Amino acid sequence: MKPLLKTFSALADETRMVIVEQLMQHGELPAGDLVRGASITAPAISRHLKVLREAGLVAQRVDGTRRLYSARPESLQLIADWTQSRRAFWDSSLDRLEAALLEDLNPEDI
Amino acid sequence: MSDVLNDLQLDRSFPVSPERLFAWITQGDKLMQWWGPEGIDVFDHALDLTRPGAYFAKMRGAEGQQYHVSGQVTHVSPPHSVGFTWAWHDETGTRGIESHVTFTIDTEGSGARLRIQHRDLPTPELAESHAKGWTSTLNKLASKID
Repeated sequence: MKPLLKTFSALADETRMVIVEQLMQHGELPAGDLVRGASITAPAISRHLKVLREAGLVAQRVDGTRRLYSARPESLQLIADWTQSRRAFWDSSLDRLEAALLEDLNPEDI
Repeated sequence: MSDVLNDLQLDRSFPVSPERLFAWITQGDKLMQWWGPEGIDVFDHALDLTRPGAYFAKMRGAEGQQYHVSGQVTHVSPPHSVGFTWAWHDETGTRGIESHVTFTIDTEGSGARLRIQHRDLPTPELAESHAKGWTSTLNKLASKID
């Protein structure tokens, strides 16, 4: 649950969403090329990148003096796992409900 | 990836009357006997889906991991349906993104069929108040990586 919340909360910010979209469209980019034209400072972008990195949405690679950033779409796998676990939760609950109901109907069979 | 955000729907038939099934899916003492996957222990709860209002359940998994879910019962129509909101809490207790669960019972032959629907909340108002349209955002993301 914890990593998924990180993924969602990291994406629930306009600037970070834009960064992820840019990286998805353009592949690897240096921090300076991100959110270009927006009135946002370099330290602010760096903070956003840190949040995205911690959520596993963005990877960082050092190339000489440059730091290059890229998107990690596989982090969206967490979302698939989440819907999976939603299914697993109710599906196995239904198994238990079925068992409980049958026991309730035939107490002498227990 | 495009179907990851699909809403969940599960159907199950039981050889009992709708009234009996309704009792089992709304009353706390009965809910406790089946709520959550096998191996999960509900150690603290206010599970009562027989009336509108708040509920919660705190669960513990086999490896000690804790799960906390809470929400509001939004409607109760015996013996046909009950609806409630649903959100997991993180380890700091912060409540996450809210979804909605509906249990619907229909007569089926001499028994009853339970349908569980677990849906993401409709976008316009709630998406704004939550995460600025995270659903459409993620759909966009998903479409980009397809």
